[in-house]
Amino acid sequence: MAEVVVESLHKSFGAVEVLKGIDLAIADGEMMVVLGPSGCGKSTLLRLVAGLETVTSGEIRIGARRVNDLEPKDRDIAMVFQNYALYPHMTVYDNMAYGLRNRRVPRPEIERRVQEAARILGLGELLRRRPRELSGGQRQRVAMGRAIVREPEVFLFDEPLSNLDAKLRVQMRHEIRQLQARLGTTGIYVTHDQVEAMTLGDRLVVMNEGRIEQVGGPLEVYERPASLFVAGFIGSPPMNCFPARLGEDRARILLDGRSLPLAGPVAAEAGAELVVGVRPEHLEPADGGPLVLAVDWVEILGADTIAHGRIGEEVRICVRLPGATSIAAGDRLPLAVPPERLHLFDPRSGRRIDEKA
Amino acid sequence: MEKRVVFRQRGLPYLLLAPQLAVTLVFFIWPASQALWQSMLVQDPFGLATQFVWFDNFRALFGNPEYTNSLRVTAVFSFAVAFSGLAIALLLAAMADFVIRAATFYKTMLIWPYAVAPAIAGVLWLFMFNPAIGIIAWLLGGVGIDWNHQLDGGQALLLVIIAATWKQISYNFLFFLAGMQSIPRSLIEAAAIDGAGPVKRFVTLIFPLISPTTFFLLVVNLVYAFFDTFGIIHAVTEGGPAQATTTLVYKVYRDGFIGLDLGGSAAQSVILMAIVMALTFVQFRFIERRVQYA
Amino acid sequence: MVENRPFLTFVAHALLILGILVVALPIWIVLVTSSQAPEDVLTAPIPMWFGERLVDNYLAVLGRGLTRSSSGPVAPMMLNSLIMAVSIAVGKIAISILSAFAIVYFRFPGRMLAFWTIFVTLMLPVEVRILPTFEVVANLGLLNSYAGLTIPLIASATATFLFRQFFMTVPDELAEAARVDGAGPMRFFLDILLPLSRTNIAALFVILFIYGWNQYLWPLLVTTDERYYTIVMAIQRMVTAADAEPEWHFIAAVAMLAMLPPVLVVLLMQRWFVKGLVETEK
Repeated sequence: MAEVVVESLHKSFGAVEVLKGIDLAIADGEMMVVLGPSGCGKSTLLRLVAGLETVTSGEIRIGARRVNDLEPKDRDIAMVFQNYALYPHMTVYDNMAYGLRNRRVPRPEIERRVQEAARILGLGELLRRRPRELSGGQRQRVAMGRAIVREPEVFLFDEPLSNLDAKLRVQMRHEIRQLQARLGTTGIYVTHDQVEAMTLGDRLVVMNEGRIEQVGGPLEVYERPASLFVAGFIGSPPMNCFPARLGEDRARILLDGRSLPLAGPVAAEAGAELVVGVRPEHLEPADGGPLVLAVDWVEILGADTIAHGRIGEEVRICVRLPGATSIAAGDRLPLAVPPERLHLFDPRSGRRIDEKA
Repeated sequence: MEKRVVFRQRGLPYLLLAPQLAVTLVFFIWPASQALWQSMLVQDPFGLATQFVWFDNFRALFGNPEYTNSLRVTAVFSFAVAFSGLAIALLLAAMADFVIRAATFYKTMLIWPYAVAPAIAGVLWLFMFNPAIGIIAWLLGGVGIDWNHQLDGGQALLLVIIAATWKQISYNFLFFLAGMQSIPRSLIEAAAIDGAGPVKRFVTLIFPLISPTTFFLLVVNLVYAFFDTFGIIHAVTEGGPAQATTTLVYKVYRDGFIGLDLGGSAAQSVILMAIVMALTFVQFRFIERRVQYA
Repeated sequence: MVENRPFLTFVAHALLILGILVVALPIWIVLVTSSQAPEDVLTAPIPMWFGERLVDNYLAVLGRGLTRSSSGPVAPMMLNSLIMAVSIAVGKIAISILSAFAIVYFRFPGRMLAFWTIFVTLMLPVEVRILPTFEVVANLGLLNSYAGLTIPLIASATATFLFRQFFMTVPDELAEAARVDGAGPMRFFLDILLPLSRTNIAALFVILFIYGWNQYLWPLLVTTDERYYTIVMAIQRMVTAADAEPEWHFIAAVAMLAMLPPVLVVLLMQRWFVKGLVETEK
């Protein structure tokens, strides 16, 4: 059991700086999901913790130990790779036992641990098979098993579910979550899939261009995105964002001559330029609502309907409405927003503007 | 392309490379540089004194009618082998590609001469053309052609060309067939729908598409004819009669090993090295575009 | 076939069968000759069907050698050829796979120099450096020895490149997983890389076995002691002698014996052979 601490971590490949100062503390037993678009540095962060890359500057600690200069094998971590990286010429049993044999774990102990992992993961029947004789989900389980038998301080997951089909992904997501909780092992889980992130993580780290945008619980990240980037990255369809101006009382915004009330005054200057964000699912049809959507096209998804269109001349937004509706292209749909569902951002820094303390 | 993962041990890679590099340095680089050095030396007949003479050995070579003759023989031999080997193999591969179903069977039946040593290939054809017992020599005699490659230089050259070609057909066939079979079926079918018959398809579609293979094979065949046919010539004609089949490689061997002409043989080696380097360069310069659909 | 063209199909098959016959004709003649009594193969036309001395002739050349020309029995020569072919194949594969491993999985000063040094061997076939290489081998006292027959031939750029090419396709994650699993470089090489290279090793072995068995010029240079003759190089002396003292039935048997092992290897291991041939040329 261990906490993982990363302090002002920098990593450059040649002239390219991939991580630009990362500070992060992961509590013992916590599942931390690192989320971000490809190229944001999330995999590099994981690989640095694993010891597969060398640190440019900064510090990584696992438990009380500074691990910067330790080989991966000495860090007491186990890793699940995106393509599983199973040894193709070894049986499932040998794949799981390989790391233990290299550590000179006694044979009966290896046997015990592999059998235990196989039982947990339902791999008992497959121990004699080779990876190419397994389905994608089974390979995924073997990769998990290889990590479990090591009984490490930290599990590292590098997009482990991205090679599975959608249905299997939901199931494995659930299994990974249960397993990690049951073993109580600290986990770092890298993904670009926000649903995975929301469902798996005790906390989320949202990264962009080598920096951390926000660290927080899944709901916190969804409900109070710390920046425009997070607002756009979390949620599907993404949050509608459009420019507006803060009213004189700093408790309303002005948009094309219309006025939307806020929950309370905010920490910005009266009349300031802002970016307003509102999630498609938080816009509600309301007779006489302040925003009138000129519907261009409608996507009917069964459970929801998503209506796309314009407000005024410039602003394109979309609305998510529950169930199938009779809205059609050409309709004009009046909408209202609960004041607490409006997010405000500084257009220059992209940071969130909060209510006045 | 580079690996993302590397191991950090310092000394180990040198240890791993040591055997290969040792053999390379001792048996390749050192002798080759010796050849370069010796090519500019002249030794007296008793091996007592040597003299540095710059490029005199090269000048002497090109002034020597035996050497220019050997150049001519090599050129005729190599191009005849490369051309006939490629032409026959191309024809057979086109046929095998056409009769898709049986292609594997024909392939098996045609590839094994690759495994026959050049010297043995020479001996096989010697059996066919031996003036005393050769079946073909006998048949030729029946139609009034007197075959005796031990006396007739032209016939001797023809014999080694046949033996060398015979051995190389399987190699060319394999590569041509692989090239043709890597052309997407849909392309051929599209051409058929566009009204091109099998012959027209071959001329306008298949042959242009396998041209990188053809070019690659041309280079490989020239290298083969230059260097790998020593065994055929040594076993069948020993360069004769009257040096009619003395190729450059055979001449290096004879002058250096039997004639013990140190400087002259070294100069010939250097010229051969230049030829291989040129051919290797051509081969690697164009290697990426060898098979378009690979 | 894209469309049904009976005539063209017929022509194609006919040409292919003709090709097979032409390719096989010399073998047939030699095989048949090897079964004849000596007096039946003194003048053309020689018989086109088997004689009665097939087994006798082979046993004779294997055990005694040719009677009139002064050549020894062929069986030890075949053993020499086998030793040479296997040593060269194994040696080339061993030193090449190690070099490729070093070049792909390590970064060290001199890496590119090593790479190009190996590359240069492509341009220096034994044929172009006959005399100086002979001198080196002679100075090292390796004439008339198995070491002299094999070691100078085991440097291989093509095998090194083939393994390098293959290693580049091995996913990086496999090496990383092995590192996380506590494997050092040699552990990784032995436990993961070597087993994964099996098919490449097999394919290379076939090609290199043929290469080694068929060596001609090199054994001709470095052996003067009959105990080290290989069958492929020895046949030349028998042929040269045959004009004076024709023993064509024996020479035919020797020729068959000389090509049998490599031809069998090609036919029995065709899949590896084709793979090896195509990949070593990349």
